[in-house]
Amino acid sequence: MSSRLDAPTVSPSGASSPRGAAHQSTATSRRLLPPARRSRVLDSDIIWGLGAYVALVVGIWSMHGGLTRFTEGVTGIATAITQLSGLGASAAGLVGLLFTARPAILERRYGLDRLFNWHRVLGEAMAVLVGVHVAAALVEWQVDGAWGAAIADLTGREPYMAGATIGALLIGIVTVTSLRSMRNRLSYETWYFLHLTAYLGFALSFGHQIVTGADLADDAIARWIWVGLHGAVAVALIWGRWGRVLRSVVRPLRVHSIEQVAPGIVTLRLTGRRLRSMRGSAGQFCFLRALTADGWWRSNPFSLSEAPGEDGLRFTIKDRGDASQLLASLPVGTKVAVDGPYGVCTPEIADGRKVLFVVGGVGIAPARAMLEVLPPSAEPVVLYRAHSAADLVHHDELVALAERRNGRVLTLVGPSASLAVRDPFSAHTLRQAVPDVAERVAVLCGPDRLLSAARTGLRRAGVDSGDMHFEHSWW
Amino acid sequence: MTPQRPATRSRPSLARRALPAIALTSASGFLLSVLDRPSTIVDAGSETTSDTGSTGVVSIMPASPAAAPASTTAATSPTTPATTPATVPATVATTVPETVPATTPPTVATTVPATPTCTTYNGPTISTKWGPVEVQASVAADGTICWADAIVTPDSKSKSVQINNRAVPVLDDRAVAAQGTAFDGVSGATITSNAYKQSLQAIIDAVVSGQVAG
Ligand SMILES: Cc1cc2nc3c(=O)[nH]c(=O)nc-3n(C[C@H](O)[C@H](O)[C@H](O)COP(=O)(O)OP(=O)(O)OC[C@H]3O[C@@H](n4cnc5c(N)ncnc54)[C@H](O)[C@@H]3O)c2cc1C
Repeated sequence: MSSRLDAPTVSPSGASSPRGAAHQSTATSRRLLPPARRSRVLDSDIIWGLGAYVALVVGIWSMHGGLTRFTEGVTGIATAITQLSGLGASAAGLVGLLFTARPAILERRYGLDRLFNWHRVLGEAMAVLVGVHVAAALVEWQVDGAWGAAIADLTGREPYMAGATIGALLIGIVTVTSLRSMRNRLSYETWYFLHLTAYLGFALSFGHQIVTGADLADDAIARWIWVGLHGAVAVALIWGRWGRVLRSVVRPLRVHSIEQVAPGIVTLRLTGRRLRSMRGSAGQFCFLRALTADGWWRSNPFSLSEAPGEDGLRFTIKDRGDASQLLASLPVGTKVAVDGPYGVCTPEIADGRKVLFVVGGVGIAPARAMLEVLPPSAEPVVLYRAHSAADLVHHDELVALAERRNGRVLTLVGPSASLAVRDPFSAHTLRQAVPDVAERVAVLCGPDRLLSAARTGLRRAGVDSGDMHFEHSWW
Repeated sequence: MTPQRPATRSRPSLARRALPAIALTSASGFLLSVLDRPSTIVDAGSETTSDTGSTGVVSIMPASPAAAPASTTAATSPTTPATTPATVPATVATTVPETVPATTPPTVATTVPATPTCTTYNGPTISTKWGPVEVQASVAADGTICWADAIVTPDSKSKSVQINNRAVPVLDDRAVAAQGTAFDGVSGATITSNAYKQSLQAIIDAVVSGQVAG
């Protein structure tokens, strides 16, 4: 045990600790929640679905001129581009919105992190297509260089075009505020509320698609397909996004206890009757919304730091700002709305193989939960990076859980500059610390910098990237 | 161990965080009310129709011939198609405007025989979302189309004018070549093309069924 205190070191932790063992014995008597359902969706289903969707959009376009317009001079080409980019922007936006509805069949297979990243990619694609659409529409509409008249027509003189103009502006603003450099200057909630105005932008631009766009205005079937797609996504959003929030608020859990475990780090235990009907696995995370005057309007993600059981959910929360401070100081009995759990980095990924955890800071939480339910065949090794010995949380629990499974915990503490090894996650260091690293499934949890360093090192040490599991950062 | 900060410490409120989004939404609403001033195209169409009726064009309702007495009038020479709805009726003779419901477009106005065998007719004004379309065609008693031209096309937008300037001559030629309405519309001007065919077809139907004398 002492080795973890004299930084910097990579050291196997010492013999089993009585506290950890005690915890383990209580843990085995707990009734765990049934594991999260698995999705039966296959990659090929997604590819077929997307293919059909693209074919539908391009089909609608080509049935109303499409490529033939390219023979009709500049105006014809501009018309064709306007139509295709307009349909494409809507089509991309719809799928992007569908992902934020967090449909279970997709979330259970790909994870919320991937859905959010795809949402981002589709949102950016939509913004680019809207830009192309606006430019092409102006070229199409202007006559003999009368740009002023074309702009006046397209920003308000044509029916529903004022809405479309404002919709395009809103989508532009939402996209710009989501660029990394901009987003880092805004608080999460400021960014989020601005992001919600994209719904307004989408709604405002709907009228012109139906009334002005030749693809839909003149073709009842295409129009109804389009309206149907929008309706389906709206239903998915209302049910999946806002319905989930509502359900979490209507049946909240309550704060059972809060314990400080390290400077600025607490564990929060929530209990409630709703747990009897919940599912969840170690390694997943939930969005927590404190139902207090200053907490109800924001929800923040936190990983389960213990396998979820009917006796409660435990989270380990580091003071990073307003929301985490609020959660850490809630009085016992306060209602907390729990949305989730989400995430696909669960113990099943071990699949009978040995497991390596690379964790940094409070990223230990999901690793701690997964350790609890891994079989002995996993022989887990935990590489635990922290700034100082005081920042190591749940260390004794980890050691006890790992040793029960013939595993061990290696801690690496101290500021980067003070470390004896320049890169603690170089392939060389990894192989020395964990000789069988290449045979293992790797689970990574921690800040982005740690993730990218560890991924590079693990890849060089021979771990297949398909065997590395982590939450992709989405914010 | 850092002590917990007191819970009373002021936190940025919801209002503070939501302000940019609320401001943006309000600005959108304001901008919408400023920008949204669509010209009312459909109204223009119905105006045209009632004008035609009130100035007393000979009218035949193909759907109910009994209600619409056939009547032709020899007038002088409108060989140049009029370009506005108002002037067309002025050149033709009149009867029974009362039988025309003001809002019913399908009227056939007969005008001058351009040649011994061809008589010129005005088709019904077809309202489209871009504006009214009316065809004038010279048709022989056997239904042969001598020439056709759209005398009213949507003109409230420079864009429409541009499209129709391109499309109408093509449609005129195709109508004569096809000797009917079984020709391809002009792509990019689908709506005008369809309205054109509808108006022309009404003339052909009226002539062939003998509702109007050639
Ligand atoms: C999948 C996942 C699991 C997490 N698990 C844990 C955990 O077990 N323990 C823990 O202490 N922290 C965890 N976090 C981080 C935690 O969500 C943030 O620390 C918390 O939201 C900070 O909010 P704040 O208002 O206290 O701080 P702020 O000052 O508002 O934010 C600090 C940083 O947290 C991030 N953040 C803030 N709000 C959100 C949000 N709603 N969604 C995503 N990121 C946000 C931003 O990057 C921001 O820069 C997890 C994050 C994710 C994405």
